[in-house]
Amino acid sequence: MKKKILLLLCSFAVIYLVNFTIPRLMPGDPFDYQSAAAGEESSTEMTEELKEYLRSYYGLDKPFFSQLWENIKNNLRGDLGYSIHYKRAVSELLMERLPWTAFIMLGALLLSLVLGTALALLGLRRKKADGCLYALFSLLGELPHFLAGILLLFLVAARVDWIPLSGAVTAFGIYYSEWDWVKDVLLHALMPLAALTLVTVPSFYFTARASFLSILEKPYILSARAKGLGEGRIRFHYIFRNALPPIVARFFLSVGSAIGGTMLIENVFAYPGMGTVMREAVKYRDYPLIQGVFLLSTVLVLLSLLAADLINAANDRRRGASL
Amino acid sequence: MAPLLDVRELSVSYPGFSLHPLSFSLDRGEILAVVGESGSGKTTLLKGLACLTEEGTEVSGQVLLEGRELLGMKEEQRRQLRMRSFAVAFQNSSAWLNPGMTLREQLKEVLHRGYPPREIPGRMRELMETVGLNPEDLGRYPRELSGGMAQRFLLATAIALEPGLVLLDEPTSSLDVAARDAFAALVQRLNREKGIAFIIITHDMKLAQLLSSRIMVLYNGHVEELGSTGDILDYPRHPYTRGLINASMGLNIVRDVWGIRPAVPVERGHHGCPFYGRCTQSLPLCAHQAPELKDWGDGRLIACNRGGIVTLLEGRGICKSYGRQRVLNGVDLSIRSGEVAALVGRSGSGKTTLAQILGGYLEDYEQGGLLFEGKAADMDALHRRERGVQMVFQDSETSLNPHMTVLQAAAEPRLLAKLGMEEERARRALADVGLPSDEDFLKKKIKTLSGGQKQRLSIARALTMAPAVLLADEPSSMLDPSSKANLLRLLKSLQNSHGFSMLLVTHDLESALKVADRCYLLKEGRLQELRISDYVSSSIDGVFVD
Repeated sequence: MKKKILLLLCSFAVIYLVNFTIPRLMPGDPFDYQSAAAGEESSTEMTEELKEYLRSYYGLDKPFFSQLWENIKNNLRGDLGYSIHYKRAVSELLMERLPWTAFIMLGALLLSLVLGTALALLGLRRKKADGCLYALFSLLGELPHFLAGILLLFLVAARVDWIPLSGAVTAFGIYYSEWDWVKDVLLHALMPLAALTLVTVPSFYFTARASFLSILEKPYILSARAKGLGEGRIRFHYIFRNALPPIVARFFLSVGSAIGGTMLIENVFAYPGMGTVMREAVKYRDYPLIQGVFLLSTVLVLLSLLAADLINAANDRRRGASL
Repeated sequence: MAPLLDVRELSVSYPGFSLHPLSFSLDRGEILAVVGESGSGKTTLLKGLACLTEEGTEVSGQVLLEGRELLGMKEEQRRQLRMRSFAVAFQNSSAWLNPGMTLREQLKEVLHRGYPPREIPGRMRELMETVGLNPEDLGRYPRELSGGMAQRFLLATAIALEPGLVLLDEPTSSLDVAARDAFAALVQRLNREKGIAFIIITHDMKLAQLLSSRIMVLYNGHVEELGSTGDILDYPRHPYTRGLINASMGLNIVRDVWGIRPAVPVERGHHGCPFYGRCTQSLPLCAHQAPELKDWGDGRLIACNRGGIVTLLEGRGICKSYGRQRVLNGVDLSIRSGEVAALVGRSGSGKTTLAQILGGYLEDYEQGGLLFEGKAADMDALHRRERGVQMVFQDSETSLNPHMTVLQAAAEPRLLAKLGMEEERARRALADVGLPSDEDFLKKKIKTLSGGQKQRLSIARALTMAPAVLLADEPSSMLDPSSKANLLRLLKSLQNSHGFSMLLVTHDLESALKVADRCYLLKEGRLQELRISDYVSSSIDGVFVD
């Protein structure tokens, strides 16, 4: 386990460096893209003097390593910097956007976990359904996130009146009760959730299926039958409970691709999560914001990988002695 | 009284294996051992009896437990009988226990079916103590158990609701001898005190000996022999049963242990005897006709077209005197198919005389006669045919013509028997006894060979005739210890792989005990059969006990 943690720390260090370097390798800098009105394409040219002034104001004129050092020091203090484009603290901006992204991502993952597991259970008893699902999910699993989003947008959302096409809530909406607001939020989340779930379900289905099949082969399932236990008891206490750990681990392992997927899908549906803010940040070379977005997602992904490892290790220990 | 369990024509088959219809019954409180090699169908039988077969398995026949037929029942009904009337304890491994539940939960879910909740804790303690586990272990998870503990816990679970019948699957396969003996004692106690009947599936003949009152021998899905434990172990009558006994480390503490030979490649018809390819006494008929399991007298059930192990060569009432001294005084001796018998006695006790009479080389004895396969033996003919009788003489120096080449000597027996000159066969026999068979060696003169080589050449000569019985008179007496060990192992391995019977005549009691399945002692003109176990005992029981 110590080795695992060390490995994750090393990964973190490497990603941190890359996060810091890559934006600065892109052509141009924030001030080439600086605009008069936030969110609009730049039309006003800034004078070179002004740019120089702003560069030194944001410390971007300093050598690479002193910028890096400065950045590390600030980050350690919990300061993620100041967005050049939005002109707000990056941490504040992220805290505002994170809930939406987390909502879509966790919602889709939970939905996928439940759906995938349920379908795998169904497949255990119906071989035909299992065959169809297997083929279908093999295809779906390869679908890129953004494509799933676009397909849903064009094929479903555009044709069904009551499904909103973009945003997280109705613009300037007036709500008469909290419930109204919840309904509105859920309705807006429907398409992004569906898109992400569509792509994530297959991995849960395959994991659950493999786990169930391996548990069914276990000697203790035969013992349970020999003990004359009820079918329900065998299914829950013997099959389901023992098959669960890999499925839960799959949840945490999926966080990585799900974060990326969510960000892409958010852009398809103009959903106000971290994905849309990241697009803006990249477009305007907003270094602190780009770094902030990536830092946050890196931490989330690495922590979930650690969680998955912990679950798997605990599960292996449990089985290990029974070999 | 009706038997506890009555199995009628039970047959279980799934792709790649079938357990042929078998019938047996088990009385209340009886212990039956089902033995056989891996793949013989023991576990299939157990799963069939317990109605725990996998999907795609065909089960037919009847299993009557206390008069109720199990196979035709709905699982719903059968579930009521599980643990209450019959229970199964699988192999001693915690893999048979749910890794996610403590022992307490696992025992509780069974006890729930038979006891009111307030009695359960007390009953659990009692069960744990009965099987020799600490009640505190109930809080453990299966991963925290040793093989022996898992086995005891599985047994505790099986007897939880006091069933009349418990099926044990390979209960001791991964236990050490001390744990095995302790477990056997526990099963005996449960059998005696609670009257629980057991069916024990095992490949450990020693465990079968310790526990069972009857043994059923399974091979490749067929019952080969069924009889009382004492009879079967003392006097196995199916070649397979004998093979299992001879292969048991536990039953042969001093003897060199040999497994049953692997099947020689033979054409066996679909309906032939399953043991045909490995049997030492098969007839052409056996390739096409599977024997029925039937009673050949004395209550023993044997499935063999020849009625069990046949006696090949038999001497009856042989008397022989030299002058006024009576060397042999009414000697009866028999050599069965596929066995190594030893004839031991002190020097000058008449062993060689008896061996030569049995070999047909000394015919002027006063009384008695020789039988081969039950008929009066024509020894001359038996010397000259395949599957007859061959002898390796004590003194290879004088029994081989020193001026012949190796090839001439090796090919001679078949030439004399008018079977023709077969160089290939001679070469093969030489290779079998571990001699070179290249041209240079074949052209060597006998007189240039060493003593050990000549001894091997004598054996090779006998082997070219593919004998049914090989008499070997002091084959190793002239050899140094290492050569002697090599030669004895060679003879035993040839016997094992070729399947002939051998009478080893020797004054070397120690060697005889190592290789012989049975041992005759010749003393003052009389012959007696020695029970080896009466003379050789071991005291390893205490080694592993704490």
